[in-house]
Amino acid sequence: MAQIVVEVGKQMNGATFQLSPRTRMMLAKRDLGVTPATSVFVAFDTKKAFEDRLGQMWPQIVVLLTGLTAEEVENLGGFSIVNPADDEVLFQSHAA
Amino acid sequence: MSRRQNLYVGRSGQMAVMAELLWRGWNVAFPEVDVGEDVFVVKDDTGDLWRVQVKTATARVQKNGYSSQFYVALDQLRTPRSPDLVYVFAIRSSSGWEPFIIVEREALREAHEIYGAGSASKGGVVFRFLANGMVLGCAGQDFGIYRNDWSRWPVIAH
Repeated sequence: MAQIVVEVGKQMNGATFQLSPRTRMMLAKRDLGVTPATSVFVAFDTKKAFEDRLGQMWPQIVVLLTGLTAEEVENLGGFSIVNPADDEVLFQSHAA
Repeated sequence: MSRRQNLYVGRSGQMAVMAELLWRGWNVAFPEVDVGEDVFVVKDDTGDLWRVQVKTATARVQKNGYSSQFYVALDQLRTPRSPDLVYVFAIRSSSGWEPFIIVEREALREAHEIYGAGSASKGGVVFRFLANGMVLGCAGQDFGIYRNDWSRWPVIAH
């Protein structure tokens, strides 16, 4: 799995994204000079809009959460989006 | 303890937490249907909202203090929400309410998954707190900073 793990909690009006505890620890240990955001909430009016558009936003959400550039995220091994309730991997970036 | 007794104890902790919040000047509300949070805390003038899950236990006397244990559902502990959940652990001893343990969901989760606090049990985690004088711990971890940590709800003068 990618080094950066983003967990998502879906709710009626959108979704909340958060770095996994181990990802936060990994970023802190690397001392990259960034302060990760506690969480990012993306609001949608309808569930359909949520399903249709959310996938396109994942890279930007990871950048917002980590404070890293897209290139830095790739250099760390990419990212995965996970449902923490059952550890289902919803998406995995294609990092080398 | 019977199931009915559990209901009474649980509701008493909820009321104790609500009473403290009201005293501090924060509005509180019950969800009509219990779907994972016990109390909504609202700042009247801005509408800022907190979701609070109150867990209540009866203290068990130990040699130099007391212990208490709480069950937290794993999916609730792991799933981020907006606004996120704050746990308040209420402990009743023979002398009254002990200091509340107030900890945000993600901090509690980190304590469990990274530092080993709590033990897995039936789709959840059981946290056993030990209080000894001014020291509060869980599986060797210091939880003292969470004791009566009402800092996110400071006293408001209306």
